[in-house]
Amino acid sequence: MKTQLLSFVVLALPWLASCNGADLASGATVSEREVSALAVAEPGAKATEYSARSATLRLFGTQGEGAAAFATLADTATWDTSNVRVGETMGRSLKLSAVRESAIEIVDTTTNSRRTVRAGEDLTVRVIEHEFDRAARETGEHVFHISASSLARVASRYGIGTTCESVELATYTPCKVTAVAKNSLAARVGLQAGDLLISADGVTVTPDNLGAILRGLGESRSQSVQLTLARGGVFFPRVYLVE
Amino acid sequence: MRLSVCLGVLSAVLLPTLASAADPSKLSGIGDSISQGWGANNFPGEHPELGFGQGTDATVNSLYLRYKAKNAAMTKQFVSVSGAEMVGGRDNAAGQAARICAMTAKPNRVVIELGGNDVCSRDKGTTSDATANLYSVTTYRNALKSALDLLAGCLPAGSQVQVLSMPRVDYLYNAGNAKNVITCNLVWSIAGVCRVVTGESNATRRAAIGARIDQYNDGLRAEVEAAAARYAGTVSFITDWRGSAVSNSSVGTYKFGKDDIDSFDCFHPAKDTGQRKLACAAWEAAEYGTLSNVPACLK
Repeated sequence: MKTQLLSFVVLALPWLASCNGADLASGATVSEREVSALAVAEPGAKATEYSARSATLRLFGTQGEGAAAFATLADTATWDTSNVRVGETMGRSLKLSAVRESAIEIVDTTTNSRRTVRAGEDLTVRVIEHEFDRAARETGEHVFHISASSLARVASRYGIGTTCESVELATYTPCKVTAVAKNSLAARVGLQAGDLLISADGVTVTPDNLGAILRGLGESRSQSVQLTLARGGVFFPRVYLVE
Repeated sequence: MRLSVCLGVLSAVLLPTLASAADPSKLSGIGDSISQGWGANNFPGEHPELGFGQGTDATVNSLYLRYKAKNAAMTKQFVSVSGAEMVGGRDNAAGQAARICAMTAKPNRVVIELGGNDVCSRDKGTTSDATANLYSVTTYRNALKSALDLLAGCLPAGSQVQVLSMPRVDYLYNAGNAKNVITCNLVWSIAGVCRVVTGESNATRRAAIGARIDQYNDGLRAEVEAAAARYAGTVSFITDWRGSAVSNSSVGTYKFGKDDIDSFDCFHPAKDTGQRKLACAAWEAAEYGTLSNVPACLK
């Protein structure tokens, strides 16, 4: 009984420590104390640039071994699914600390609480995001919703982050994405190395106009841009709705 | 006497309702570029009219057209997305199932065809294990289970969900090489088509990837059977997969030939061969067909 009580106190301490009046975070508001404890903070960002939401994550499963191991988690509100490796975060505060066979351990760095989840189980968490994380939101069926002002700030801080080179594919001359820098505008709008960019609103994508096309997503308002690209050999139109 | 009258009246009221709910009236599909008829006429792009499920082209004789021949009022509404996976991304099986559940007029027949991109969109494995970066069978099963649970919770009573086994991408690779070893390998390289197999020169390693697909299909069948038991009496769940032992007994064991695939990217079913065969197999595996007829579809 004593052991059980001690275990409870030890496990509850981080949570109790977070419940000290002014530091208690609630709803979408993120406190300065939480910002100071984020696993991945945006340099120089204020608490008002962050927001929090409650999410239920389902662990589909784990795979791989050692450093190559990763977990596959789905947000049950949207079924958006991510592959996360040890040390990587979901949002800014949920760090994957261990991947085991069919189970993972997650640390919330703002409360220093650890949770274990098994494959097929759900976990309700508080996800803290910076405005840059929401600059481009994929909503499925190849549609992205863009916050022009946030994306412009992403470009200002991290740059466009990609280049491409023209290649020949049958009767097409697409521009093949060579690399995509982490956190850059190109990464935010979902480009990947190897993507073949064919046209943007009917204009052929070239190494010379790629930067202007992507920068335009952060300068436009109330319009849409259709980017036709090929990934894995499949051509499809991707629509960016700029808000 | 009074009880039998009551039961008779109750039957008269209930039975027609149950019967109409069970009769196919609307078909939906969860799937990827194969469901979207991508490249089926040898031109790049989606051609849903040539898809095995939703197609309207007579040469394909899609699942939809076959249902429509039974019921002229049959409708369709597919939510398949090119590039979609069973597991990953925003258009995965559960994501597409949620879109079906959001429909005002719910379907009572759903066909699921996914899986190829779960393999093709992964990075190549390690030197010691070609499958190192592939999803585990547990991950694959839980992704499918999530979708089946969503569908069971929103489809009308009497609905049927068919989950097709996923094709072996190593067989598609073989078909492409048989079609044109130079041009197919060139387009695979430039366009990055399923490099996990098309960029793999070692046949044993490609076979290891194929073996993982067999395991996915075994897991798929186990999840379908579990859902069928869980939701018995409300929604039925079926699959064409009968194991990997017999070639051409299901979509997942079908050894695609050079004429079954398109000539643009050499990796998608062509309309009057591959797509037509998938439509036939899906039909025979469903309620009006006979599972043992599937091999004849795939000849």
